[in-house]
Amino acid sequence: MQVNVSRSKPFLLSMGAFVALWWIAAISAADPVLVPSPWVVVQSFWQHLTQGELLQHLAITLLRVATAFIASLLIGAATGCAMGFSERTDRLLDPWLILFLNIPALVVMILCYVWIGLTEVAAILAVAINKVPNVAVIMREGTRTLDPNLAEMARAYRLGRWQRCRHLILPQLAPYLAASTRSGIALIWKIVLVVELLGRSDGMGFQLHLYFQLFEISSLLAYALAFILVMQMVEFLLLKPWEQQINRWRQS
Amino acid sequence: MNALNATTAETVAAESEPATQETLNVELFGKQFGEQVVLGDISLSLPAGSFTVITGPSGCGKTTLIKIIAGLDQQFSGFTANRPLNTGIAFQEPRLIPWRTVRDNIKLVCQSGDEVDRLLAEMGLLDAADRFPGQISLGMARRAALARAFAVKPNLLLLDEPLVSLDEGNAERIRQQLLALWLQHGPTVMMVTHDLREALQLADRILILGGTPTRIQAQREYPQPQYDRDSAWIEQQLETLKIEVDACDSHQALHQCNREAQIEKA
Repeated sequence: MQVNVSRSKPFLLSMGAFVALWWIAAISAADPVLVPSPWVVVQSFWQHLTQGELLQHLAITLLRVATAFIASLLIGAATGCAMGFSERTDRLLDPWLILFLNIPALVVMILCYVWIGLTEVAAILAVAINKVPNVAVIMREGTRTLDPNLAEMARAYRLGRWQRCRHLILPQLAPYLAASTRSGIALIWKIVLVVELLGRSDGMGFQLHLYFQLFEISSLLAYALAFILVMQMVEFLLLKPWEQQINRWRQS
Repeated sequence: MNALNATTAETVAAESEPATQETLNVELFGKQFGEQVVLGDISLSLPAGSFTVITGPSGCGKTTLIKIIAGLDQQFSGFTANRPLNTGIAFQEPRLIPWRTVRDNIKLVCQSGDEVDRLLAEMGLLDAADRFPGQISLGMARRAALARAFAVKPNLLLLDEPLVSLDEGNAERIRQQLLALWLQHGPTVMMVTHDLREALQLADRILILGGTPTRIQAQREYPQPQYDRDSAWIEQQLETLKIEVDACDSHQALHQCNREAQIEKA
């Protein structure tokens, strides 16, 4: 990946402004424990990284995020496509979709823990149930925008099911898959933390809860920093290149 | 053929088993879009290896007819028989897959890579082979669409105004390629065009469509071999063909006006 200097300039400027604001807030705050300066947070982050259990908890949380994400993407995409392709399925499932879209995430988590127990399965299920309707809605829209002219061409040339999928349908759904992925990861991260806070004894959410009780704001922010770093890496190393690849044909 | 009398027949879209070397028959009793009857009684037989050109006013249902013959539109009353399996079709728009390169678009319907390169070279598309359809001109995209239609080694080739918006040099080159392909592989060709000179250059038979609903108004046979036709012959034939087309036009001009008004209302 190329780093364009003129394009990364605004990015660096706004990042610098953010750090500066944070620093001013830290200096002017009455209690430095409540608003630690960026430097203190970086030090704390380094300490947790090298001596603490940050990596271990981060890995556990990442694993949960990945599992819940893959499960909800598969189920959501299948449901959404089925609804987009068949009007009957759409009418059948639409009330369910609206119901699940509007159940508060917290209710789903509590019910999963109560009914299944404080287990890993319950945790991941709770996250997936929250995300599936979102994916389904996006993918249904995507399926509805499939180009009928290209479908007709495929019929005229007797393209097989696999060829249609690979060359026509998937590329047309790719932007919607990308949108589901991006909004999905952002949402799942947040829900996983709450799930961990409520009913798990490891992971980022559990640790954040712990530092909240200990009132260790610098550790709390250090964990958040680790989090943001990983998210940025997913964005720049996975999502952006993938989107560039699928949008290559648009550049004229 | 008696079935032609059954003008009030319900929608029957029956198809018999495809056979390659038989006459393709299309018996159409009617085709409606909603309330609008677009095509009336049309009985067509396309002998294997024949080259038929259809002409007629814009919006008279030529594209619809092509789609019915291709088996893409099955919502009509009537039937088609002996439609060959491998049909090459060039739609009015190129309909290339925008996210696949020109080469991959053709490769998708034709497995042999050598064949693809040969077709690309013939169509003058070698330089554009690795570009995406959005990056080439419309003329090039049309040529690519034709290359794709040729690539399936079709027994039935359906061309819906494939040379529109090409400059005359390219159009002429592609006409020659089309003729060469037709003479070599002998597919049954059905082509829609408004260009009567083009029609005379290529066709065994020209059908003039018109009326409300659209029927075959006139039909002319041209037994003269295509490679014997020179521009003098074409100009000479053009006179009589023009008179015939104009006659059909004026006959239906009033109807056409009424119909367009109706369509606009709808």
